[in-house]
Amino acid sequence: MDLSLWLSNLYNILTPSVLMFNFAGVLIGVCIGALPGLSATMAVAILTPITFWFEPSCGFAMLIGVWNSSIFAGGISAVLINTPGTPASIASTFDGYQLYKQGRGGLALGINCIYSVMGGLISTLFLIFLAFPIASFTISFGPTEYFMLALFGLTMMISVSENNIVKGMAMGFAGLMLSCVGIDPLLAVKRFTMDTTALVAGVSFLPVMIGMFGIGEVLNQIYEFKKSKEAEHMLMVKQASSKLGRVTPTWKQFKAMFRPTVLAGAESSVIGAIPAAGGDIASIICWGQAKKLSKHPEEYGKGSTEGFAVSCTANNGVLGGALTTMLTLGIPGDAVTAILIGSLMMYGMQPGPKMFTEDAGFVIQIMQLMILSNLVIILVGLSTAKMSAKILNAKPQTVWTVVTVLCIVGSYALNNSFSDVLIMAVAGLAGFFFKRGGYAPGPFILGLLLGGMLESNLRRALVMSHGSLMIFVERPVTCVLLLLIVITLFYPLIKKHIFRKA
Amino acid sequence: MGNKLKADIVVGFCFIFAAVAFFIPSLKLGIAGPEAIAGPGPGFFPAVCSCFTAFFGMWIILDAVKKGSADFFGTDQEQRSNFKIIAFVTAIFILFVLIWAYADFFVATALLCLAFNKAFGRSLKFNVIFTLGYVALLYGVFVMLLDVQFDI
Repeated sequence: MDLSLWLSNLYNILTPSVLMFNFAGVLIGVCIGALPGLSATMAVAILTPITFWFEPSCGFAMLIGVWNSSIFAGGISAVLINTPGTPASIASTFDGYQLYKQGRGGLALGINCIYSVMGGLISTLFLIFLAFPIASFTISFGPTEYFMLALFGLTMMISVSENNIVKGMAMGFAGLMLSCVGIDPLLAVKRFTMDTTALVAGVSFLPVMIGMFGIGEVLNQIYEFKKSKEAEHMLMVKQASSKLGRVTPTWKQFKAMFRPTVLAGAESSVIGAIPAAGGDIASIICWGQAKKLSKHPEEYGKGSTEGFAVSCTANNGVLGGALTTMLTLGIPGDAVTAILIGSLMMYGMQPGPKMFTEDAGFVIQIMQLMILSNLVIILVGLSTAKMSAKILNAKPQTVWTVVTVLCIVGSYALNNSFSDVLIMAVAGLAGFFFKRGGYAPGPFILGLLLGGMLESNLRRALVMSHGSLMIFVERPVTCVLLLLIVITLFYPLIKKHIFRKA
Repeated sequence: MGNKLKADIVVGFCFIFAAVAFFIPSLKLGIAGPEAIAGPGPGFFPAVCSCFTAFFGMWIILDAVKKGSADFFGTDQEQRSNFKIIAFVTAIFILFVLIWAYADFFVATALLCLAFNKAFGRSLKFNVIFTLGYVALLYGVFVMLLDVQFDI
């Protein structure tokens, strides 16, 4: 690692504009993450097109801030109203809400902030120390390895298919099919463009994401809304503002939580590096693991500060791992990293090993922004812990209107293109129907994003081998990846086992 | 059961229809590449993907026939009545697009906010204050700060 490069990039990000955008991103992320139903994916998808109007460092400062803080803030509603703000905070409800019921809500909010940051920082260290060696190893990869990597990413279609693998596969292949629209990667022939210039560059990926995760979610929430439940929810929110108590843990509590949380941070960083294994899986695995190793396992699930700290560490601990996979291999670990890949591509950078030589400075800036975001979160999170309950007062109807307009503005601002708004609207409607029918959008997005990489490398490899498929099993790396693909195919069974145990 | 059965079957047929729509032009593009490069042609990958899409589309249909379809919209009366709101907001969105295309983006946005808030049962006072505040904020951020032009 070149220290001078690190220092020069640190100098570049410690500017008022980058700090301001990062701070704004953290604030937006806290508001979005705390509101149940609004996910980190939705936040990053809507904001990404807007950030293209800023310098790359400012834009990424905002996105990284939103991503980290929305995952942390998911724990706020988990503590106060027993509803995870984001799926990653699901394990935070086990002990967080119990702590709140015992009159230690303030402490729970403090632990959520401190240990989410701890998880974020541990996983960023994982990213810093492992990303460069991985990238220097993968720099020698050719079309066969890239094809296998893309195929490995695509096998995640199965793990992100939620409950129905057949539906997930259909969605994934539909995404792959749609990725063929545009110019052929090898022969530069126009394909499926219907003689319109709008489709020559292919189907825009971000408007589809904004539509599916933004408008699709809003329509789904409108459909699922019940007036009877709203009154119940508002009552819980009103009660949440009172009697929160002390926010920071005592030194004794901090010492007791140190070992299990460091372990959870390391564990979740590794889990995060596995594509499609997100914060929900990591926090459940780490919580279960910590319970087994704890001196007081009987307290877990009944308001254990240790158990709660572990789940908070794990949900933010996956982020550095997911970034490691994204930056070194160019494979999205989850929906947010898929959008970040799209965002980097819009800035003219291609995530993957080459980025570590061609745009090494920006890779370092992303790592430094991860650290900066966590430092901002701890400042904002601890100083506003007692006020955070106020965010939950936001009426869903207001949020629906705000999000709808932001989706329109976001999809238009991407390329100043009205057709992108229409694509977003169609994707939104499709996203709603797919959601209702149990067709997970994740595989579709993976197919759309990885289709180009898969096709171009498959065809290049076959040209190299004069059409022989043996080229894919002749190299050690492709054999290892093939093995990983087989393991991934059995992943749903493992996941089912983990959830059943938890 | 009858209605339930239909939903996944319709979606399954949509997948098959999309697959056929991609498969036929793929054949014209060429499954095999030019002799000089001895590899697959531009139509190879989309043809393979469309075959798989059709295969899984068919599987969805068979699953729906055998086990029944997913319950897309449930039977809860309160939720089913929300469909009217969804239909209304969709209509408003179409109107918004037309007003944007023929008049102005901010006028269209203001009308969209007013109509959405009305549909969601917000009070008139809230509706007016929210709409004016939100549209002013959008104008300030996107037009004055970021210089985004919303002209079509």
